Amino acid sequence: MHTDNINIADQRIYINLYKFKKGEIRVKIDLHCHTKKTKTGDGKQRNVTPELFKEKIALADIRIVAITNHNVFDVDQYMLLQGAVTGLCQVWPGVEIDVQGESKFHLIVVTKPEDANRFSSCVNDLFGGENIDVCQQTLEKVCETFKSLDAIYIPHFHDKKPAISEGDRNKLIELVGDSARVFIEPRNHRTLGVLSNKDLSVMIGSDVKDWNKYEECTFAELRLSVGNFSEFLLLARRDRTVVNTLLSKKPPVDMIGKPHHSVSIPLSIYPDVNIIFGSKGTGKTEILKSLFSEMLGSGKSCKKYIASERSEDFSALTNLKDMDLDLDKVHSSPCEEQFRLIFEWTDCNPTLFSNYLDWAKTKGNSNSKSRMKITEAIHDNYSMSNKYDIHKSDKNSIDQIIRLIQALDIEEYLSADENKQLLILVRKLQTAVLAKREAEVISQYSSKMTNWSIDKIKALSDKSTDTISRPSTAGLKSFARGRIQLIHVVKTILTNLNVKEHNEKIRIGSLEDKGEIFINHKYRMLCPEARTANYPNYNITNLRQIKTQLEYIRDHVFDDDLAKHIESFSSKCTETSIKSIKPFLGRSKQIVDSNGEEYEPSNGEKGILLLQQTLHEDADAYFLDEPELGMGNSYIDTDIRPIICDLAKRRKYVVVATHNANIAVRSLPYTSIFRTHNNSVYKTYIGNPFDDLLVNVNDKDDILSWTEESMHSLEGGHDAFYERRDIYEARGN
Amino acid sequence: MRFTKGETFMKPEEIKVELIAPDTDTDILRFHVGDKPLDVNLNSAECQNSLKDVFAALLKLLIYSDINLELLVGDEYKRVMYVEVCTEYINDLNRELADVKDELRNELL
Repeated sequence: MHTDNINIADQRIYINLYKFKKGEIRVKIDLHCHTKKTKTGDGKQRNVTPELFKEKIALADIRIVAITNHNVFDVDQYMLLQGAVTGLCQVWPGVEIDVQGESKFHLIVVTKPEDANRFSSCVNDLFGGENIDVCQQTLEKVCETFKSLDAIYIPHFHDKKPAISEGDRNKLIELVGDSARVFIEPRNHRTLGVLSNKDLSVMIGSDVKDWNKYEECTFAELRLSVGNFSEFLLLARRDRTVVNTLLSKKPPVDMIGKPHHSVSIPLSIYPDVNIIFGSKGTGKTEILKSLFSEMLGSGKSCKKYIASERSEDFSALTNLKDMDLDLDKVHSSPCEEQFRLIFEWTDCNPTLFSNYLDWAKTKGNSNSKSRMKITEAIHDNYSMSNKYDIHKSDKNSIDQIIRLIQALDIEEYLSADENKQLLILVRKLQTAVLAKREAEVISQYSSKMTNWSIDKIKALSDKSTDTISRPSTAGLKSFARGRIQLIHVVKTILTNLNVKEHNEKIRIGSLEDKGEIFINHKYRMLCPEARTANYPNYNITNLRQIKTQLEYIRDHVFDDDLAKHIESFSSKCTETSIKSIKPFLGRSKQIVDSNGEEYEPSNGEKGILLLQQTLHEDADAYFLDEPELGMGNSYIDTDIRPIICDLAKRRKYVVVATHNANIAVRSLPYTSIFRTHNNSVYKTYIGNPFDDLLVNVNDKDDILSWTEESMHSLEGGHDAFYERRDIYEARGN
Repeated sequence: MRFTKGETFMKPEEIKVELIAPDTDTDILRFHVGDKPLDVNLNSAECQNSLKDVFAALLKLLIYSDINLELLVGDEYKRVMYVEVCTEYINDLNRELADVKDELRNELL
């Protein structure tokens, strides 16, 4: 009897129908299943009839089962049982072997149904008349026996006794030569989850002891449906964990793809790679965009790369929207107070000369006034200390420091003694600063009061004696101080306008020939090199005129026409609503290399940089439309595909509309959405490489082969694919 | 003599200020500052503006040089009260120039 006549296609269809019925794939698998008592220690309840087998498999909802009796493979029973569940469940041949390594352990070996007879021969050769109750095989002999078969190996592990040692597990991997074929079987799902998190390939089976209670056993659940043993291996190669654990589950989200606003296609999108492929003009981009909008609307953070929009998107990278008018970037002050002082500035006029004449004319008219020498007094000459402003600022600083210290729970950080010392020193500093400040303020105010008193007494005395007192000042000092204050204010503004530029380099990606590429955010005050584009909200000519006026005032503060320039400055500021130096902060962005040299990327390079930036930003979901456009195939395969696969491992939703075979095929997507267009009829098929099917979403009987359609759509067809291969191989030879 | 910040003066620059009476109704204080003398008509309503021009010219000079105003009254000038007032006035100006020179230089040099 041969196994080749098993209807695999029927099984595949069943799995797909199941998938569509449930929405989420739940493929239960049992790769450790006993169907007969073979060793003395086995219970009779392990014997199962084909009828009971079928009933229990259906009840437990098992889609793949491997028959793994102790040290025996009964090919006749295998065929009977397989026949009993045809169309319901795949049955794989297997055996559970007693092995003597560093310690005794059990090792399950499973192969594909097509090789059941060969497998039977191998098992018979291995045991060759030995007493299966007591025989022990070596790892070397087991691996040598099954070397010619497409087999997987599942030793008992950890709490599943008798368990393989760590040394023997490493030896097994070495002997098999392919780690994807070696799994481990713990005792329960809790251990399964723990081991899976350690990135170990885990599997768990029923190890059934009583077929009447089979459905109550522990089973594993595959992450994705697989059509056959080879596809199971494909999945194992892609994801180390092929079965669901509590944490490693990748449940899809139900979404609606819209190739056109009037068409809705229900799709299951996985936190893994999801590919949309098919010929041009079938609405792939629209589907991708609609999925992006829906995912975004669901509150997930999403990143998008649309190759056909790369030029515009790249330009958007260099717009200034994300650059605030933040003067802190250039360590500058807004100088609002200084602008206000200029707007309000007025000249101090000299004392009228006639006041001197009137004083001279009436001098001596009143004897009593003549005795009052204060009427001859002039204003006190108070001038501010050089450190007046510094002491004022220091006083504010120390007050602030004390407030901040008081807000701290200092005892959390310092001992009581240290705390006391700190407070003593800070208070001492405060007292010293305050003393300086007090002296200056008292001096300033006493001078003001003295001058006020002199003027007041003179006025009273003039009134009562009908005389004019001597003027207290010629007015030169006030005149000079008014202009000195003006120049101080103007220079403060100009100092803040001449601060150094600030540059912030943000990496966007790297190019093969140029290395790292950055966007440089430049913050620079108005200067000769400034451009109109640096000031999107202001007219640069007005800014230049205002700055020129300030420079003129600074350089001509004692000129006759000063008032005219002050007026001109104030009018221009009012007209342009400028009240501080904030508008003078220019912003720009440049694409630069690691040396800071400006670089203009080509269209293809823009795509590369945008794509890298998109993929390196953290998000829940990534939507890429034709990422291969304008890029070399090797770049896509060596640089982009691994990033996509890494995102998939991190359970990110990655949806890619592509014509590139390396992305669409080699990423082994969890779901492939295939779009066709023929005679104005559009169709959507869904499937994946693991069950090798693409099923029409509107007609479950319309099924295509994933392999054939991928080859046709992505590789140019079967002939083209193989011809290329032959040419490459011929050149290679 | 020009100087830079921190330097001291050896000798102040003398600015001559003449009190003259070109006619019977006019008394002029003529400040010899800069290339062209500046006149202040002591009997005119515009006298205050003329004084501002003189102040500005003196302060420009004061940035770089110590200056001292020296009142010159010719023998032909006969109005004693004006002489007395101008003497006081020039003294006031000299005092105020001395008062502001440090502030001025601190700001501008």
